Amino acid sequence: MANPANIKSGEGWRRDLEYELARLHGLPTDNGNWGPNAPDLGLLRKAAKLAIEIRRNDLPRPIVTATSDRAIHVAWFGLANTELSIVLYPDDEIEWLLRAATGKIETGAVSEINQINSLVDRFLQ
Amino acid sequence: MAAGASPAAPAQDDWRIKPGETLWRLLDRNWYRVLPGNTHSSVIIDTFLDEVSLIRKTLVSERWVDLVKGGRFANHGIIELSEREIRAISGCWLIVSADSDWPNDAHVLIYRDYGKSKRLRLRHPEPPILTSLANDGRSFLRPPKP
Repeated sequence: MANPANIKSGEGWRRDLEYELARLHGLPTDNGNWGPNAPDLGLLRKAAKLAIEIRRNDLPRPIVTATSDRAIHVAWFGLANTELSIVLYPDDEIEWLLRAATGKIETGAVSEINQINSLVDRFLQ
Repeated sequence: MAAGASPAAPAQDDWRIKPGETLWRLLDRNWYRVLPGNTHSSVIIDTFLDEVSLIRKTLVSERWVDLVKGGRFANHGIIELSEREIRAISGCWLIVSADSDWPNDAHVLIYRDYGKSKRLRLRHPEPPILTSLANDGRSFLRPPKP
């Protein structure tokens, strides 16, 4: 379940996603595996499309980070430690993690965009 | 990739890392965030994605961490993990990997699936377990500096 305190206008998460992705562009590229490395522009553009492709407006604001292999991690956290994480990799793969309130974790690879909408629906249940 | 990391898959777990040893994962401040709904910071899973370098506490001091690579890690946090906790995750091996920035045998990589891969991905079972261990209240030697 999403945390209502983090839902402002319903569109807040999209603005935050855009802002955070722009911030990732300014990260260094020489961190090796000791820290995040800036994703390339093509992957940043792909991640920005999540704002269009995800239908729900009532997501909380996301945490957006880069991994050391220049992937982009977009995560939403809800009450009771629920979580939906999406990682977009430079090799074009997209993977997901869904943590339920029970602590049960499911993970997998995304084969088409509607799968992300289904995951969002499950996260917001 | 860490400098000097071996490209070959290891044949077995590396028992130069002895039972009871403590390993350090250096924590970049970008991977230590206040999650929505919380008042305190948490280690995020990115810390345990891709290649995960660890440092053996028995061979490296905090001062070394602060000075290595021209002071690059002086603001990093330090998470303490036990070799036992990591090896208890099914198929996780610890492999010494040469890195000239660190003392001999001090730099270690985590391999998953009985040595098949050192690249941890979100869909793998290890990253959430390692993240949970890192967020255990016992695990911090120091948080990253803001």
